[in-house]
This record gives sequence, structure tokens and C-alpha cells, in this order.
Amino acid sequence: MEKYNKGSRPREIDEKILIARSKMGDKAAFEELVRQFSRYVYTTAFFILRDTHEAEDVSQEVFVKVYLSIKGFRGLSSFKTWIRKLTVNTCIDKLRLRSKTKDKKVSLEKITEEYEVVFTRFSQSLEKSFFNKEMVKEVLKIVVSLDESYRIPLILRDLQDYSYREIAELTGKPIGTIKTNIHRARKTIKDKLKTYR
Amino acid sequence: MNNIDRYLKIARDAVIKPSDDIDKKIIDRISHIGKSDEKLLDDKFLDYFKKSNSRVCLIIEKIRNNPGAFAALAIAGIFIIVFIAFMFKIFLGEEKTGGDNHQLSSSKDDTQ
Repeated sequence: MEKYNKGSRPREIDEKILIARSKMGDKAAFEELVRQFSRYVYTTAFFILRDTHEAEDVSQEVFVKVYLSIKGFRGLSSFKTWIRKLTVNTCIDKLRLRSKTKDKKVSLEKITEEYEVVFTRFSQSLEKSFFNKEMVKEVLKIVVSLDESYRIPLILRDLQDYSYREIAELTGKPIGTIKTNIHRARKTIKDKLKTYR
Repeated sequence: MNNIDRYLKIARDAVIKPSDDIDKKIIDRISHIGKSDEKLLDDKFLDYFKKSNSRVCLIIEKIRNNPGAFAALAIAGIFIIVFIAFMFKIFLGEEKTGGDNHQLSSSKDDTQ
């Protein structure tokens, strides 16, 4: 395992090498992939599901799926894209299941207390970046507090780069509704930020 | 809205710090994979897996996601082909008339 941990920045380790080694059954290489992408998967799951335990479950499920199928991964899209779509699909399935079984109401105060946002890269002057970081944290807090019909399309469009068509297919809603909901979600963020300032 | 877009763009690089050691949990889970876990690879997953491993499916997906851009590209391609064909025709025409002129001048030389 150590051979993958020697550098101070694990991101620098070539993702393709790790995938190739994982395909050959190198468990240490796969564990390194887990270390590189676990937070990303967890974050995506948390923003969609708004539940730390479910986000953990989804993270584990996604990596089990990846582990069981990585031998067949051809690498036509990047690993990040592949794992991102897999995470979103798994989360949407969970949401569908939840809407059938559980009460949708979640305590927002509890959600905002439950997480800490960190930045993977931030290349701006310190003063400016501090202000931006706080604003981004505030924006994310508002995003998490949004209703599901606004939150999911906004996250998929603005944070995950999905097209309107893909979001419509995933959520089973017309493209027009998706566009309207994203516009309303952005407007809500804008209005709430005014009061924050 | 510009500021919102900017903040959301920055937010793409933000990750949530999990309360527990998520890496360890995932690695532990992977170490104990059993037969029952293969159920996770359901039809939906296999469908996604098949599509993500097919070049044709990925290209179709890209076209469906950006129909405008691909239409513009196709129109531009057609224009380029028409333009090349047009230039080729002009070039051939000039060559032909040039050849005819050459023939005419040479036949004039013969009569002289």
C-alpha cells in the first residue's frame, strides 16, 4: 500500500495506473482510488440525500459496485465521470425508495450542523478567498435547505454538469419544469444571500 | 445571477468532511464482499455499465445533450463540403477552358 502513499499529493498519482492495477486485482491500488474519490462520492450523495448515514451507505454501495465491475471498465469516459453518474443514479434510486417509505421532512437545523465544507483547490488571494469561501458555504447551506424538486435539478445542473435532458430523464419531469425549477432555485439563493449580506 | 454562478462554480471544488473515517469504512466493506453483494449489480446498473462502455452510446448521448452544437457543426461541415466542391468545379472549368484555349492556339499555329 505504501508505494501509493509516498507523495504528499495523492492526486498526482496517475489515475489511469491505479485503474489498470485495480483491474488486475491489485487491492492496494483500489484502496488508493477509494481514498481519492470517497469524499467526492460522499459529498455528491450528501447533497442529494441530505442524510449523513444514507450518504455513507451510498458511498459504500457505489465503491462495492465499482470494485465488482472495474475489470470491465473500458475508460471511455473519465473515472470521475463514471463514478459520479453511478453515485447520482444510486442516490436517485434511494430517493425514490424513500419517497415511498419515509416521511420526506428533515430537520434543516440538524442537516446544517452535521457537515463541514472543505475546498479541494482554491487559487485566489487569501482575503478574497476567505470571503468567497464563506459565501460558497452559505450558498451550499441554502442549496441543502431547498425543496427536493428544486435542489436535485440545481445540484445536477450546476454542481454535476448534467444536461437538462439528462435531469429530466432521471427525475421523470419535463425539461420545461426542470428549467423553471433551476431558475427558481437560483432566485431563491440570490434572495437569501441578500439577507445574509 | 452572475455571482451565484460564480459561487456555484467554486462549490464544485468543495467537499464535505465526513464525520467518521469514510475511507476506512469503505475499505472494510470491500474486504468483506460476499455473494449477496453481487445483487447490487442489478439490471439498471448493468444497463448503465453497458452504455458507459460503448463508444456509440457515448457519442449518441453527447449529440442528444448538445443537439444545437451538433446541428451547427453538421451545417458547417456541409458548407465546407459544398465550398470545396464549388472550388473544385471552378478549378476544373478553368483547366478545361485553359486546355481549350491551348488547343485553339496550337491549331492556329498548325494553320500558319
